[in-house]
Amino acid sequence: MKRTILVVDDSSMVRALFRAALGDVEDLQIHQACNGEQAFQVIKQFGEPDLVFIDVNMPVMDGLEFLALAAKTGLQQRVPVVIISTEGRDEDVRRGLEAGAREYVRKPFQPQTLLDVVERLAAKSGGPGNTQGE
Amino acid sequence: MTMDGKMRTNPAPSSGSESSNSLASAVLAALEQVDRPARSQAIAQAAEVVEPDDLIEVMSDGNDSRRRSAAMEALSRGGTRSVPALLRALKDSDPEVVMFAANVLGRTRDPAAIPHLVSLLDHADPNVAQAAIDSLAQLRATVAVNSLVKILDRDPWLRFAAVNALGEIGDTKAVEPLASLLSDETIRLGVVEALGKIGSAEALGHLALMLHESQDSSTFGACLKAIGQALESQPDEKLLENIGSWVRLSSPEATDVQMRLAKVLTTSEEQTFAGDHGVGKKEASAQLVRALRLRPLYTTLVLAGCDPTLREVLEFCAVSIGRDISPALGVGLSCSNKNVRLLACRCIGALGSSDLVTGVMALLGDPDETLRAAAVQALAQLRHSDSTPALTPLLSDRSLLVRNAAVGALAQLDAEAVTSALVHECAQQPSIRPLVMDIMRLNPHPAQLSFIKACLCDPDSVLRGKAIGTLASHLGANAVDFLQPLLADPDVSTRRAAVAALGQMHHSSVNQVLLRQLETDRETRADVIHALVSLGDNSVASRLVNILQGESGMARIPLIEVLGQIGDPAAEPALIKLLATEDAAVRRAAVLALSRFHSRVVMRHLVAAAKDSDIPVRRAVVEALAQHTDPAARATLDRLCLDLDPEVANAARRRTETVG
Repeated sequence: MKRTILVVDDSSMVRALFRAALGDVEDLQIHQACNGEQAFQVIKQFGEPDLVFIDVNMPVMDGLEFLALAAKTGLQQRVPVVIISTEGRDEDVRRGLEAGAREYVRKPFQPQTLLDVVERLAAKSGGPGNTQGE
Repeated sequence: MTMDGKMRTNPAPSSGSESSNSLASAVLAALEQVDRPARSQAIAQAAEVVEPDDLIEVMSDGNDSRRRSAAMEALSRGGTRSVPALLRALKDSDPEVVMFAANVLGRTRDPAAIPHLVSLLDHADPNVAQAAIDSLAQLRATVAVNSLVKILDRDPWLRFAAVNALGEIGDTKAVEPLASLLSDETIRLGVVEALGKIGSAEALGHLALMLHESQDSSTFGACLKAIGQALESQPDEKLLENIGSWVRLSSPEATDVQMRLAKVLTTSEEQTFAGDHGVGKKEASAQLVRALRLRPLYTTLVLAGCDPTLREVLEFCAVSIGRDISPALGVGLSCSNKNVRLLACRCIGALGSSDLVTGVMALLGDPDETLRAAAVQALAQLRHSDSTPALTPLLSDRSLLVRNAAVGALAQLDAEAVTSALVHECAQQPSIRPLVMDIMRLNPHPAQLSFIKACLCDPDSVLRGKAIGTLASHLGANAVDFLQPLLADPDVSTRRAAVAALGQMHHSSVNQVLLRQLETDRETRADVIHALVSLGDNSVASRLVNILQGESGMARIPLIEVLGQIGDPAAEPALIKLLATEDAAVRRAAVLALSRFHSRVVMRHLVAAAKDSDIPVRRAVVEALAQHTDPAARATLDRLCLDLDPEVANAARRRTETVG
């Protein structure tokens, strides 16, 4: 059974970076969405992923709104959500973690950072933390 | 926002600045609504009525991400209107504001932003530079290609962004600089994807070389998908024949690549990536087999049809390859997988591979209805008339799909062979005769006549009706003598079918026959009138008038309506006379019929009818007079505007305005 991650970002470059960084991982399938609303549609169609990476600032439905809705539907309890954002001030990170994100990855990040997060969270549940991007 | 805290808005010509300010304030406040439909509406409004500088201010406030996202969306939707404010925001001291402004500039789709975005490529904050690169990609900024190429030796984050942008922009100038990065493992997959998006012959050449040389499965898979995408930009593969690395893929030295392609095509699982609109690996492999004419993989290509989602692309590939793929299609016909059999059958029909007809005929007994229908269609496409005796039993197949396919096929094959097989089959299965009539109508032959005439006398009225239509299409006007007795058939549907058939025949005796029918058969009267009108019979009006005068009550209304449609002046006196009849519904029908007549006599009587005691009649008079331009008609309409009945008066006012 393959692990599935869902990448939610309105930047085609970030989505491509995920494909390039994680495309090598044998047992991993990558799904993508451009905003929170589309993410819920993908989940409805393909089932719940093992891990969600989501940007904060996006049109239609942003990352924090996705987290709020995910908390309401119970998704947040079942699937770890990791924020990937350019907004890297302490209060941004605090807001993200308070909204229910398991980790907060700052852009720009290295491909290895993504691999580490996937191995840590898509395999098992972990506690909240803050991963500093490079 | 101004110094006193008020909102700036676009000046609105019809409203004061205060109301504009309050609208803009309300819209801005609505941007933070939790309810998403309401927020979407606020975003749409904000894009039009709120000053872009005020939206920039909201965008700059990092304390509410929802409001910030909404403001950015409004600025994006504002398009060119937002650009000056966004360009000012690029000078902000906060890099985050600059980054968001750069991000939104790409979404405005305004090329005026391009030089400003290029100037940000050297920004100290990599997120700002990346936002500018992403926006240049969105704007398909070919003028920025050289500047983006220069970033390819910067830090990995920006380098990846530039690679992605160069792919999105799709300019061939970027091919060589990108190809030089293929040796760098850290960025190779991104470069491969970008080259696939550019899709030029040169890009394809580099991808072919990479495919050949790739050792790991992820590079091979990425190359495959990129080639699949590039081939979409290369509709004529012959133009690729002078690209060495591409041609080498079909040579014996690329056997290992071909084996890997076969493996991809036979793998049962194809990963479906939600949100990924690119070409799948299997689809790309099939396109490679097609474009390179990799004959050893033709059977593998056909067998890949076990995945029904690939059917369209595989059909395209097989038909593009042509008859050379026939042996592989033969293998597909006997495959245990029904999707493969279906693919093979459809391709054989499309290619006209007559040598495989035996295999196709074997599918006529397939348990799957889709396959039986596909086999029938393929035999029709192959024009294989020898299969006619095998097709006729399918007219009584349990599946409607198959029965319809059989009718379609038998309508196309050799008429003589079809007739013989149909007559033989009807002896075994009389219930198929209505379908046989349809086929004989579409595929006529003189040998069918005796059979059709026999059907005209059959006790089954449905069959008689079908036989009438078929005989008429065979004999044309010569069928009159055969059809005439059927005008007295006890079954009304048979009589109607006979009338309809006669209505298509321009023959001197037809009009007389129909006029007699008009006077003797009430049940077919409407059909006869329709037939006579379509035959252009100018005596029909006077005949109808005679019938009308012999009728009473509501039975007169359909006749009146038809006389109105015909518009023959011969009907004027009779219709005018009806304006004095006691029955108001008949008077109303007469008024409406007379609205098609434009003589002064008619107009004067319509003017008089404006005094009718019945409201619906006066309402009809309004409609009728509105068709006339005569001053008396206009004056009467004016009077009707003051009618005691409000409905009549309103109708007259509306009409007066329209015609006035």
